[in-house]
Amino acid sequence: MSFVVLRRIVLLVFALFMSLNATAQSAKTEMLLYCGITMVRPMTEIAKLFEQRENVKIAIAQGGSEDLYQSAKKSGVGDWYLPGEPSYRDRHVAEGLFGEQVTVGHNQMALMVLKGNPKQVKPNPRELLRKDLVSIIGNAESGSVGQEAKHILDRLGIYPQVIRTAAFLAPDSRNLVNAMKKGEADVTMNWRATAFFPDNVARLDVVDLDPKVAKPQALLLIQLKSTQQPELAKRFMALAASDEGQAIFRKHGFLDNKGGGNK
Amino acid sequence: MLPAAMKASSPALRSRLNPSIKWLIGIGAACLVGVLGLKLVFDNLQDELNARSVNERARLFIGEEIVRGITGIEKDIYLLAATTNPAAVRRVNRSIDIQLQKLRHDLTVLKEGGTVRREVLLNIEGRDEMVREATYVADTEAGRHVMEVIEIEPLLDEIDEKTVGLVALLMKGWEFQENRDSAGFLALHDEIDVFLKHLPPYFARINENASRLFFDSSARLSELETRLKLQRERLKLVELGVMAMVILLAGLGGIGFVQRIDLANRQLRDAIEEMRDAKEEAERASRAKSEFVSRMSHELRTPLNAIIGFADLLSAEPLSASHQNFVKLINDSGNHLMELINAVLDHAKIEAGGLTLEKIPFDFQAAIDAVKAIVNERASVKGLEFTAQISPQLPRYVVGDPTRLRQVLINLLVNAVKFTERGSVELRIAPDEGQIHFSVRDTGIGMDEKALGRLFKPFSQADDSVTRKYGGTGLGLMISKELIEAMGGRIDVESAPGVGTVFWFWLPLQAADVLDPGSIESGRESGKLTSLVPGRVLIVDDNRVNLQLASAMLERLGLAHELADNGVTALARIAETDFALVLMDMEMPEMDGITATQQLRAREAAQGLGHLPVIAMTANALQEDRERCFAAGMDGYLAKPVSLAALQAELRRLFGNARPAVAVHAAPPSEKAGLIYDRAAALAMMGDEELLDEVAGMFVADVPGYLAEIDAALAAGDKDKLARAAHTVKGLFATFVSPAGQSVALQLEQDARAGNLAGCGELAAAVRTHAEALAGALAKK
Repeated sequence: MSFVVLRRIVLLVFALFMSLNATAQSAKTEMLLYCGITMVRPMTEIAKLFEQRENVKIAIAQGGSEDLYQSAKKSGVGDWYLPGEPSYRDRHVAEGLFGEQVTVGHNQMALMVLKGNPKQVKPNPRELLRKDLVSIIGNAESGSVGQEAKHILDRLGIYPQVIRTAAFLAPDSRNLVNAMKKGEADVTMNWRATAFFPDNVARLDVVDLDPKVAKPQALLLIQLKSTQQPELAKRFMALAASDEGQAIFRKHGFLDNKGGGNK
Repeated sequence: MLPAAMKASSPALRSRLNPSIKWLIGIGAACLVGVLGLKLVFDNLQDELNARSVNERARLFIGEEIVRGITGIEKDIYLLAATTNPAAVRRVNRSIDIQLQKLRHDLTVLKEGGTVRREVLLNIEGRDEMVREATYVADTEAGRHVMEVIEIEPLLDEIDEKTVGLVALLMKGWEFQENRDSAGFLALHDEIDVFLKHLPPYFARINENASRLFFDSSARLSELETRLKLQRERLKLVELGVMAMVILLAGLGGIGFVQRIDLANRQLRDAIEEMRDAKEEAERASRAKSEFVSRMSHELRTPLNAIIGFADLLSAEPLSASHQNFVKLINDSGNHLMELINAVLDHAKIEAGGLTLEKIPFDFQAAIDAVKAIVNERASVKGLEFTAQISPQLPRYVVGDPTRLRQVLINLLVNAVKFTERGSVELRIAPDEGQIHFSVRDTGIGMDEKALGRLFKPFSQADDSVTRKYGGTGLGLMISKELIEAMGGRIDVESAPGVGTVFWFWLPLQAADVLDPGSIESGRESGKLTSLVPGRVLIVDDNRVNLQLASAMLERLGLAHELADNGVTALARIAETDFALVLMDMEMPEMDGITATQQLRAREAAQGLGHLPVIAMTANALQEDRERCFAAGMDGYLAKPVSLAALQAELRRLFGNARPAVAVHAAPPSEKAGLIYDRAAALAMMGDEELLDEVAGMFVADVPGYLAEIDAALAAGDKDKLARAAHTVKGLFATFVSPAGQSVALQLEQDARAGNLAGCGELAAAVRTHAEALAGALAKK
């Protein structure tokens, strides 16, 4: 047997092996979730659970809820959209990207301070205007945390003052938390669940606001019409809304879809 | 039996060895395929991983470009905020547009693949800029999302909006400034502040998204490099494993092979043992067969001789015509039977491998002359013309077996004569490319294709009618072919019915290196020999003529001498008298010359006597005879017919400080083929006409006795006696330089000595013819 023939046989076997391998890899469908940055942790856990159960891989685009919507709109791909609060659905529903939805939990705004509240911040949004405090809030143009803060502060008529007073605006809840942890601010208005994340709980405390001021906001997992796998998408939504999914949300400091959770 | 055993065992051994070799080759090939296969697989894996690493680095490069672009745009937007006139706005706007275009291009490359360039300004003398570029192959796997593109692309759209918004604010501000509207300008300033306050989170988001690309790519790159490292380690492990496997397999294969070789060797030894046993058995059987055939031949020949002899006697009696016919039939049948027995004996000897061919220098011309003499006689009886064309380019002396050559030639020629009713028989001999080519052509009955196909097979003649008509054993041609092939030659035949037949054969007979006896100097200094030879000379020969001749020669040389007629007498004489020299014949009754010399030397050694020189003087002119003489302790050698000059030279060599020894051979037969004997040459040899006449008289008187001796030996089938008698007559023919007679007598002697009695009857008759002719010629003189 000549070397050329031998080499051909070996390469053929190799090519076969590689093609089988490639087939195995490409057989896994990739789905895309646009997830508000605050909910990334529980949703990542639920997505992994789903990946183990179904032959699917879930990619998560994370960021501010508005930015995410714009991404979904611009790219025309994706399976789900999970904004930090429901106003994004209301605002964009007319554009026709949304399909069915489930509530997977609730977000609620709170004042967030350093552990032990050394500056004695009171449960009042006006505390953001205290001259002895460095305050920061979210950017309303980017995400839900800024949007909801604006909503609360607008109702109190102090949003322009707070904007002017704020040391800077952060694009999302995580940036707010990070700024607090780095000592760049004494107080912020943020989604309360983030203070209960394992890496934050030792550093931060929440100063809860009156629910009348800061109403719990439903977290809506919306199926996008661009999904190529509607059945899988539904199963994923069902999992997120199930007791198993809700337990994960609670674990990460969120109020579940019945209002229960870390108080 | 032996070849069969060999044939049976060889394939068996091969078949036992072949699986070992096949296994070894198989193991080797499997290891090679394994090593090559794994090497190729891992090489390909490594190549692929390397390619993916390079691609991932290109992706990182694109990420860097995106971050640079975003940072540049962010810087420009702040620059835009500080502009003071529309021209500056346009300039900054253009810069932002260029950077946005590049960003969009780079994002497209991330999505679809392509090349991303970066032009870097340099402050190196002679070189102002350099270009870095990277080519990225997009991940085309179905369903994969390019997250960076998805996340960053909409944000880039916002840059346009932001820029437009900012420019609008700036324009408004410049308007307030132109209108000197301080309140409006201050309010707008607050608005610009809020606007600018919203920029950092926006760019922070883009940067975060771009950085995620870094994180992702770095993670992938790190994973790829880890995999690459792992593959290299695996490859190394596999190579080591394969090497160990190869060593192990080679070792096992080697052990297996050695075991198989050992087994094969054992089997080979057993087979050889078996073959040796078979060979010995075959040889025993062959010897037994030969002995049986030989004994049977002898047993058959003895009564057959009586039958033929008495038939001869009876034929001389006065018988009626019908009884004469019966006697003739008995005689013919007896002769045929004798011929058949001799042929069967020859064939049996060849078949049993008992044929020993001589390889001696001999006089080729003389051998041919002897054959010619026999055939000529036969041909002339039948009224056929017999011609012989012998190439003059042929060597005089060649190395080979003269007896067997003559046998073959006589067989073919006698056959040719036998099967030719009229016309001619022709013998041609010529050199042919290092060999000697013989052809025997006749104008006889010829043969068809069928008959030719049966030739050279035992007991096969052209057909039965041929046998009935021409007689013969049917073994002659087969024996001739066997002899020719045994001598390294080959035979061929061509024939046509009614036209004739031609046999060709080739023999590789090489010319013999024979010294010219003529180079020996003549005996003019004879007188001086008396002083060289210090005493008497003893001549030992059983032949009266030879004794007389030698005696006369010594007298001519002035040397005193005595005579003895055999070895026993000679030893007795030597014991009684001091001799200076012995001239010793080889073939003698009672005790031959070799034995006598050996006993003489033994006696000298035992009694501490001085060395008595002995010169062989014999008609045995072959090299091996010479060697036998010297081996027995003789000091010199003279081949009969001995010339005076040769004797003188040999004495001078032995007793004087003469020239080195010169090989002395029988004087060449006379070129004058038509003569019965060469008187002049004989006279030159003896040196004395009176001596020649005296010796000739002895020959004439004694020759009937010698011929009777030959006939008696032949009739009794006594080969030794026949050889000795032929030897004596041969010497006498040589003495009178009668080459034809000498050749025939030599052939008779050699055939008798070789036990080849088949053709001896013919030869004896030829010897008789020549001897009687010589006697007649000598008597006339």
